[in-house]
Order: sequence, then C-alpha cells, then structure tokens
Amino acid sequence: MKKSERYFLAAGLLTALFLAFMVSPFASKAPDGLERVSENHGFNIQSGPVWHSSLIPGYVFPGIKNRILAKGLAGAAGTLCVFIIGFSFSYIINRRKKGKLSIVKRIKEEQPETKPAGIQEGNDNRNR
Amino acid sequence: MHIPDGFVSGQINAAAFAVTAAVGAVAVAKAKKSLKEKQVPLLGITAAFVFAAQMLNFPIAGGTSGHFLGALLAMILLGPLNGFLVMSIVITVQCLVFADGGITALGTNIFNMGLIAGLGGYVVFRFLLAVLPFIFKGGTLGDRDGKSNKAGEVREVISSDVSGSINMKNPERAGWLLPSVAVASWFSVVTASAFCALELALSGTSPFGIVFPAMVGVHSLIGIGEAVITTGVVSIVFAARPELVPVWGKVLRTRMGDN
Repeated sequence: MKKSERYFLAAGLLTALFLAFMVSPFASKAPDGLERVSENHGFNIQSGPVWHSSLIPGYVFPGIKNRILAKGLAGAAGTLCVFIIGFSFSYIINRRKKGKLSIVKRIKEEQPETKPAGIQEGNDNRNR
Repeated sequence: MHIPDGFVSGQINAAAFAVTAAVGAVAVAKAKKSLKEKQVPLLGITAAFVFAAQMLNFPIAGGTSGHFLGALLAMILLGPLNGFLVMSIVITVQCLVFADGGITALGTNIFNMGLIAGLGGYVVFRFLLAVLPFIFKGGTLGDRDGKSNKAGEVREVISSDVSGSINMKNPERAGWLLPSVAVASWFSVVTASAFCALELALSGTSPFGIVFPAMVGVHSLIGIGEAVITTGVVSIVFAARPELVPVWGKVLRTRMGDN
C-alpha cells in the first residue's frame, strides 16, 4: 500500500475519532425517528432492557461528571472498539486466505472473539 | 431506528436473527475467499466512521432528530457482503456496549439497518448507475470503447490503480456515481423504516395504518441527511483515492444486465 493511501486511511480514522469525541457531545438530544413515533402513538412503554451488563450505557462514560467529556469519551471508546474489531476481523480473514498456517491454528481458537461473538451472545440471551 | 426490547414479537426477532446469521455466515465465507488486502484497513475505518457518524443526531422537524445509518455507504465502499459485516459489527457493539437497541431485537436491528437499508439502497444504486447514463446519453451505454469520455482522468486512475486487469470501459458511468448515491441513500433509510414499521405492525405493537405512514414520513426527512453525508463521503473518497475502493472498478464498468 502506498504512503498516500496510508495517510488517507489514517485521516479517515482521525475524522471518525474527531466526530465521536468532539462533535457527538453537541449532537441533537431530541428523540430520533422511531422514538418520536413510539411516543406519539403510545407504544414507547418498553419491557425494559434485558441486557444489563453494558459497559457504557446510553453513550455516557461512567464515573465522569462532565457530561460533554463523558459522551465524548464514550464516543471515542466506541469508535476505537469498532475499528479494532473490524480491522482485526478483516486482518485475520485476510491472513487465513493467504494460508499462513502458523497463525491459522491460533486464530481458530480466537475466532469466536471476532465477528460472530455478538450474534452468538444475542442467541444465548434469547434462549435464556 | 434502534428497536428496543419489547417492541417486536419473539417470532419476528427469531426469524430476523436467523436471516442475519445466515447472511453473516455467507458474508464471512465470501470474505475468506475474496477480501482484498486493501480492504483490510478500509473495513475497520468504515466501521469506525459509521459508528461515529451514527452518534451525530441532527434535528429535523417537530422536536425530532435523525441520525446517519451508513449501511449503503459501507456497501458502496466495500461491496454488499462486507458492508453488511461492517453494519453487523457496529450494531452489535452499540447493543452490547452502549445499550442502544435491545438485545432481543439485535437480529431485527441488524436485519433492518444492515441488510434492508444496505440492500434496499444498493439495488437502487446499481439500477440508477445502469440506467441513468443510458437515459441521458441516448444509448452510449453499450459504448465499450469509451470514446466520448469526459471522465477520462477518472478512467486513468481506476484502470491504472485498482488492478492490472480492470479497465474502465464505461467512463460515462462515473459521472453518475454521485447522483445515484444520493438518491439510493435516501431510499435506503426509507426502506429500512418501512420494514421497521411492518415488524411493529406484525408484532401488534401499533396498527399498520398508523405506524407505517408515521415511520416512513419521519424517515423520508432523515433520509435527506443520509443522502448528504453518504454523497459527501463518497465524493471525497472518489476524488482523492478511488483506488482504495476495489469494488468501484467493477461497479463502474458493469453494463446493464451484468450484475
């Protein structure tokens, strides 16, 4: 990959982090489309969340009093988290494709950690 | 449009979960075979951008806000199946880490905002890209020599950089990329909201006659924001580093019926 391409990709990631950290605390707090419709038509009574172990519920970083900082940190943490999952997922898949056997065995054990993890967790929860 | 727990019935959640798991499995299998090296960082960065941009709620009419979805953007940058994987990662993290969208509705949310929003938009995108040059250029669609190319530079870039084998045979098509993206991204949000409304109605949460027009109405406004952001990002990538998007070599060359 050329240098200019690397710079462009790095700029993309920095833009995402900037948006999440600096801009998202100032985003509109009004209810979104579905929330608005559910409020207007009286079906916004939820059963309450089933999953209680979210690390950063509601995009507010826990333990930080400043709301702007809490939301910015939550956004940056989520952006990095999603980037790392997406990058390592495609990195691992690409390595496998090339048939680099030394790494394949290790990855086979790690693989549930990458992409299908979320889906499987969803499944477990549903069966509970 | 993140559906919380308790809005959609168990059967629909289970069915949507089964569909998304199956599509996810196909996407992973396909990626194992054909994911290009250039797409490795791009996949992570697209996911990061979609996540960050989804946090930026913008106000629309009547004390309501909307936010970017990004499914079509991901599919345009990475191809439909990889784009679907990006959306699955984003929505799963939102659900598990940020409690945004119910865990029981995770499959349904990935179905609506990943599969339907992405595919609904992508079908429109490919259709427009195939039809618009034909309508406006009086049938130069079959002109595989690319004689009448204003977008000659674009052709140069794509043919030299994407890969040795790709030749931009149909340069007029590149000129229609952004209009197609704009219209298709509007459709992507509206289609997703229509499916969301349908699921709510089938679950008995709200009558179809009420929830369908309400959802589609609000999201046809939100779709304008989607169109602005998606078109903006695509135009930046297309102007600056189109060779980072291997998919475009194929998309922009393809003739009608080659899909």
